[in-house]
Amino acid sequence: MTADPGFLDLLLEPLRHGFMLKALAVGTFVSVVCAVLSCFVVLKGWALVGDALTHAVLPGIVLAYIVGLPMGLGALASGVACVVLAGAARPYSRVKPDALLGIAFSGFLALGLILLVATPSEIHFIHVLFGNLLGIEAPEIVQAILTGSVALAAVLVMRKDLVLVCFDPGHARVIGLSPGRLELLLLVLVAMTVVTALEAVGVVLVVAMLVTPGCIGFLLAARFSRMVVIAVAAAIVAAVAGTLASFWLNGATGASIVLVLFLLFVVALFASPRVRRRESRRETAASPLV
Amino acid sequence: MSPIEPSRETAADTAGAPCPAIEVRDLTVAYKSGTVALVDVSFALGEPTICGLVGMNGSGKSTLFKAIMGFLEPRHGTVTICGGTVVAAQKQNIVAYVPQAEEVDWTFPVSVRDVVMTGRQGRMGFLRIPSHEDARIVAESLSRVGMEAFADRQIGELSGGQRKRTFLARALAQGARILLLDEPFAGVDIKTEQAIVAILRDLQAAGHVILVSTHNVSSVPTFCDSVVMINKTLIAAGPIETTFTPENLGRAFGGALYGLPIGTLPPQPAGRPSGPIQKLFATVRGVA
Repeated sequence: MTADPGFLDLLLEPLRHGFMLKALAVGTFVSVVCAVLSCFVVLKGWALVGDALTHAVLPGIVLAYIVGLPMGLGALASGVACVVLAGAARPYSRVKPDALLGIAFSGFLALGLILLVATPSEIHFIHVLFGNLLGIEAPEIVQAILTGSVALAAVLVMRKDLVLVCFDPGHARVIGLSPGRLELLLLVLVAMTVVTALEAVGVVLVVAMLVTPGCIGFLLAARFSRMVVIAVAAAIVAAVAGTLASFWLNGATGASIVLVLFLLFVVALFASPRVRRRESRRETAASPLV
Repeated sequence: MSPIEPSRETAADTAGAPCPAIEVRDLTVAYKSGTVALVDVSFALGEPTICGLVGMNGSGKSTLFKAIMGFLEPRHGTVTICGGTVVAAQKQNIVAYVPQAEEVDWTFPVSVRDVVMTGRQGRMGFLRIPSHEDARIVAESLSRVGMEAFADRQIGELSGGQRKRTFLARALAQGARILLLDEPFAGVDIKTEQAIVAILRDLQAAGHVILVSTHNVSSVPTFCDSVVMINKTLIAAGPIETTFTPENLGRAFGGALYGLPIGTLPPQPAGRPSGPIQKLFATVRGVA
């Protein structure tokens, strides 16, 4: 390194390292997948569902590790199980759906933490909690690209029906679609996205990547397709800027990406063309938080 | 034959269909929380009609709609659409639903044209790519409700009347034989109301069966030719002339109907309610 680096050198310095290029590529890919799914999460009012998924994956990860299964599979199973169980309890209880979901996912998280402490392992579970994009290894990259690509492809094929089930599940049923099945599909796809993003940003912060880009798109667009484009663009900017920033911070890559997303959201909040007429939104699991 | 016959099988022949468009038999619906929303409702809609579904708030109008659309499983009884199950009717796009304004997320990033196009979605292929025919039908539906100039507006930018027209256009684009409209006149100006009624009359003339839920009872005789009155159970069903009577209204609204001459109300027992119907009214009145 030169004694007096110019600004351009400072900017390019991280790109001279192989691990940085890898981190940038994986981080960008993960961010794009999250951004696309976040549009559906936001429109469906599923911010809390996304939060629940990200926390409920933990026991599945540890259990999968114990029995020697791919950890992504365990994460997927326990995330989906948590949300489905909380939803199934709804008709039998006077407790509000968001409270049920909150109870369920914190229970799952607690179970995961206990299993984590009780399991001797060489795996850095701290990376599961906070991500480790700069040190990401080949097997994790393969898993992220695999789950992310499948989720993206499924969304691409099913996008019309998924948008309709977010907008008007009643009409979806009337024209012969199955809103229940489509919602379950969306849930599984969001869970796959969580698995995709785990190594990059970790359980604690992945919810930001599943909500914030979609909100930025929602604020700035009046059409769904534009919303997705804006969400993806914001996510790419955040991934690149956050990863580069973390090079100089010697870590906290996930947190840096999420902080950039947060700043972009604040900008979007003030830049959004107008406050559209606020109407009472349909009741959704996440309504108190959205 | 009257366009509507309570709880009897009809053989109305409309648009080539040999069986009643909607037949509800002994329908009882209960929610999982235990609330019984409808008890033993039976009626049939056969010939093309504009039928008003009237009852107080909480009388079970929405529940009946949801049961006809298959959103709720009956505890017992059946809903038959054109001789088949509700699910079969949905696969064939026989039923269209125009939701209440409150049920729609108006901030959703869709244009008027997008919404109307979702009326065609059930008839599209696996990838849901609209054909030229779909685009033509959507344009036609938009112009029929006078919304072609607003096709590219985001739905939140519309007035109350324009919003109703948009969702009516979607039902038209769907090409369904049966239309269910939930409170279509709530919050719209008189011009829009007249425009909607004119479209409904055209649809009836074209052979459609239209069920309109409303709590604005006074407007019912002005645009409906038949009526179904409910109050947790069926009060009456039939042609307007013979069914829309002060007696039936009194029973449907339990004396809560504003502007109804006091003499038309059923006698109120001073002590405990006597019959099951009176008990029902007593609970409803307690809530109201």
